[in-house]
Amino acid sequence: MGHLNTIPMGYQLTWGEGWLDQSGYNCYSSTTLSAYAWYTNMKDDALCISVSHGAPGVIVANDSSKILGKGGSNTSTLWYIKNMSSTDIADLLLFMPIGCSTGVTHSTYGNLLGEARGKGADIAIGWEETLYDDGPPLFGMGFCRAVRYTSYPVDSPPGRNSGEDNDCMQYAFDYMWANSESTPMRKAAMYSWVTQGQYGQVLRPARYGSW
Amino acid sequence: MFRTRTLVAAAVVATTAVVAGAVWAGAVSLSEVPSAQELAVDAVKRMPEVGSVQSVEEIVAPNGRAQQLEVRTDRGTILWLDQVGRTIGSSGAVARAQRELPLSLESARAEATEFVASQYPDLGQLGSPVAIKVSEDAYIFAWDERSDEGIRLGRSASVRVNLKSGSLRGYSAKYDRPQVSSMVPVVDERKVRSIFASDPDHRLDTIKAVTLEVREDSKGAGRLVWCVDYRVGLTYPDGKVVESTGMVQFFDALTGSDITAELY
Repeated sequence: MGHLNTIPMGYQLTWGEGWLDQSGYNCYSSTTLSAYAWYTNMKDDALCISVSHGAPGVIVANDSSKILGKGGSNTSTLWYIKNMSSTDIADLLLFMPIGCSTGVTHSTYGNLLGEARGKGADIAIGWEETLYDDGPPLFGMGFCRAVRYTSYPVDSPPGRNSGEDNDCMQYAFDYMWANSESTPMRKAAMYSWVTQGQYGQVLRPARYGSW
Repeated sequence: MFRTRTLVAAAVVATTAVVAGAVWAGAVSLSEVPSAQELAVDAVKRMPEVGSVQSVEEIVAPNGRAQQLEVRTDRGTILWLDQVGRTIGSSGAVARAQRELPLSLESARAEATEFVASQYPDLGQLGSPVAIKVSEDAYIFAWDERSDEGIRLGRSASVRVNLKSGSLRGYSAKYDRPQVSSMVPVVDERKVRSIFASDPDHRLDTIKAVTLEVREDSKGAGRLVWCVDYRVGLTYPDGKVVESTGMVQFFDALTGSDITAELY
C-alpha cells in the first residue's frame, strides 16, 4: 500500500492536514490545483474531499478549469469522470465534493456521484442545494475532525433518527453550525447532502477503497 | 474562529455587469407591489416542479412589518419570498417534500416556539420564527431580531425539531447585540450595488438582496453595514451560466468601503 492521499480543494485548507495525517492518511492539500491535477491525483487517493464551486454535474477548480460527470471529451480545462478507465479510482474510498448542487444530475453533464461510483469510488457524497458563505469549508473541517477524533461511520441509513446520529456527517454539520457566522437559514442548506454507496464504513484505520 | 470571504475565483465574462444591472433596473416601487397571493403564484410559476400554491402566509417580524411570505404548495414544498416576490429559500428537494410527514409544520412550529420560550426566555420575545424544512425528517426554525427600521440586529436563535421523535434541540443562540452610535447610513443602496457590480471579480455573479444590518467586527465593535447577498456565476462548457454558491459581501454604510474581511 502506498500513500493514502487526500485532496482537499478550495481555500483555507490547511485544516485537513493535521487531522487526517493523525488518522493515518498522508494528506496532500492544495488551494491552487487545476482540474487536470485534481483529476489525475484522485486516481492515487483514498479520500478526495474538496471545497469548491459546483453546479449539477460539475465542480470548478481554482483556475476555473472543471471536472464534469460526463458529456464530452477531455480537454486541457475540462475533465470528465466518465472518461476514466473502469478502475481508475478503484482505490478511492470516499469522493466528497463539497459544493452547490454536487449531488444533482445535469441533463448533459450527468451526476458526479454516480459517475465516481461507476469508476470505483466506494462512497460518494454531494449536496442538493445552494450552499452558502463559510458553511462548506467549515463542514469539511468538521468532517476531518470526525475522522480524527471519532470512530463514527461516514453516514447513517436514510430515514433514521436524523439529527441525533453518531456519524461523521452529523458531526460535520454540528461543527459547521456551531462555528459558522452565516445565518441559520443559510447554514441549514448544508443539511441537503446525499450519500451513495457504503456509507456505513468507518474511515479509520487508514486504507484504500475496495473494488 | 474560522474567517474567510470567498471560495474559489469564478470564471468571468464581460456581460455580467450588464446582467446584474438589468436584474435590478426593474426594481418594483412600493405603489406597484402586487398582492401576496400574486407574488406566490408568480414564484411558483418559475418553479413548476414544486406544484401549485396551497397557502400563503405573511411572516411578521417583531416590529410588525411583513418581512417574508411563506408559500406552501400542494406537493408539500415551502418557499420563502421577500416582499417583492424574490425566492429567498425553499424547503429542499421536491422528492422529500412529497412525502407525508408525521408532524405538521404548524405543530413543529408551536413546539419550537414553546421550547425557545422556556429555554431561551430572552429570545422568546423575537416573534414568529422563520421555518425551514431541511431534511425528510426534521424542521429547523430560526429567529432573527430586527430593529424598528428593519435592520437585522445581532440576536438570533434556531431550533431543530425531529419530525419522528418530536425531539427538540437548540442549535445556536446569540445574545450579543452590537451597539452603534448612528443608525443612519451615508452610503445608499444604489451606490453599494454600483460598487459591487463594477468589481471585475463579480462580472458573472448575481445580486440576490442588499440589506442594511448591524454586524460585529473582528474587534467586537458594532458596524452598520450594507450586506450584498449574491450568487456566484458558473459557466458550463456549453457557455450557459448558472448560479452557484451563495455569498455575502459587506460594505461600510458610512464610507462604502468593502469590510468583508473584517466581518466574516
